[in-house]
Order: sequence, then C-alpha cells, then structure tokens
Amino acid sequence: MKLKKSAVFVLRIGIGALFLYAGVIKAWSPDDFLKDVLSYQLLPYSVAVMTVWYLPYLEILCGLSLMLGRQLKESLLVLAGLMAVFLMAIAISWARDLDITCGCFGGSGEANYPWLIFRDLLIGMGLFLIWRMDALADRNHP
Amino acid sequence: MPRLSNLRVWVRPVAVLLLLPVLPALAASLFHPVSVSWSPAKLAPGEVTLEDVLKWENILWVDARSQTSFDAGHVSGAMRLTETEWEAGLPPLLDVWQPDQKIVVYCASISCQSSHKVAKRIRNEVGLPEVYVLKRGWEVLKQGMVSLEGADIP
Repeated sequence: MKLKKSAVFVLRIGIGALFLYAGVIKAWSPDDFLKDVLSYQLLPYSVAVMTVWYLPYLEILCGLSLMLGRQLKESLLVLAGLMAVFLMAIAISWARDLDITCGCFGGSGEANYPWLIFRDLLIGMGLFLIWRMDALADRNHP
Repeated sequence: MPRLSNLRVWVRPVAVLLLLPVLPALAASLFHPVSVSWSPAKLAPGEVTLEDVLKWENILWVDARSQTSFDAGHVSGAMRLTETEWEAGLPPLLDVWQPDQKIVVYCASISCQSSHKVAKRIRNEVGLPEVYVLKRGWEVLKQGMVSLEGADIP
C-alpha cells in the first residue's frame, strides 16, 4: 500500500512538473508558441492566438494541481482531454506530411512523429495510472 | 468518489478548472512584454510577398519542403535545402548561386517555419546578404504566377 502511495506521489510530481514546465516555457515566448501552433495548420489565425494566450495557463494550473494533489481528478480529466487533442493534432499533421515544430515544450527542430506519439501516449498512461491508483486508495480509505 | 460515468457531477468542477486560466490569459494578452499580433497580415522580418518577388529579375528559388512535396511540384529551377539535409543540400546551391542573385526561400504555407530557419542559416552561416522568405510559400506559388515543374504539375 505504501509503495502504491509513493508511486502515485512520484507520478503526480513528475507529470505535474512536466506540464508546469511546458506551460511556463510557452507562456514565456508566446510569439514562438504561435509559430508552433500555426505550423499544425488546424486553427484559424485568431483561434491560434487565443490558444497561445490560454493554453499555457491551463497547463500551469493543471500541473500545479497535480503536484499539490488539489482538484486532482478534475485536473486529470482536463489533461487527458488535452493529451487526446495533442495526439489527434500530431496524427493529422503526420498524415498530411506537415513540417511542424511540436511546440510541446517550446519550439525546437523538426518533429519526430513516432517519438511524439509515443511520448504523449506515455504521459496519457501516467495520467491513467494516477487516476486508477488514487481511486483504489479512495476505495480503501473512503 | 463519484463515478466517471456520472457526468453531471464532473461538469461543474471541470468547467471551473477550464475557466480559471482565462483571467491570467487575458492579463497576459494585455501586459505580456512580448506582443502577438491578432492579424496575420503583417510581414515578418525578412519576408516578402509574391508581388514583390515578381518585380525582381534574378532570383534563386530555394525549396525548404520535404522531398515528397518537392517531387510533387516546385518552382522551375528551385534548389532543395532543408535543415535536416543541410550538409548535402548546401554545396549544390552555392554552385549555382551567382553574386547578383536574390535568394527566395519558400516552404508549404503561411504557418510552416522551415523557410525562416533555412533563410536564417543561409544568412548567418553562409553570409549571403539578400536572402528572403516568401510569405505563404507554396500556398501562393501553386496558383501558377511563376513557372512550376513536378509530378503533379499539369
């Protein structure tokens, strides 16, 4: 039981910090993040600008919630939704053979699509594990 | 803990969580030291429109898209140069470049970044002075204002 608790704690801190970092780095350079969002060619320009201002703070908030264990389930749901959207955007761009920069953790070189999908699936799995283990803990100690 | 299938229980707290970042987002859009234009009309530094380019006479076109896109269609005589194939693509480009030629780099559309990156490297690493990025790239070129060639070009 103690081991499970520690595992949830480590996962929460790890994934929470990851989203916190991703959010801060995007909030820091909105101009670079805008180029990344536009490179997916999925959103009209004005919606891309709104995303650039909104998404980093959502990631920061959810990352902090995960790390602090507050509003945990709600944050997990939102982050799972985000991961689903990111995965779809990456898959669509791959299918369209687009030259995207992921923008996930600030702009970088050309996207390695299989790696991006693998990484997002891994994060999604981590979120699911936190949910499951936290639900089990709730059941054992209501 | 409520079940996930009990949607009504989740809607409100999730909506609150989704609404909370709106305030900092609004504040950032107003006060962030880095401004982001709400209109895509402005030209970024080093960008030119096709209208401008059509007035020039001696141009070396550089295609910064993937090999597949290049094979499907490109500007006649364009040299292909991408960041990933930089070492292989640069020498042939320098072989054909003449000192009085302006270099115009293009990629797929308004939102791709490879043309900017390639143009920046040509300017900084090779030191060529007149290197420009075509705004909207292939999106505007495929309308046929310049001579094109490739598998998908009729």
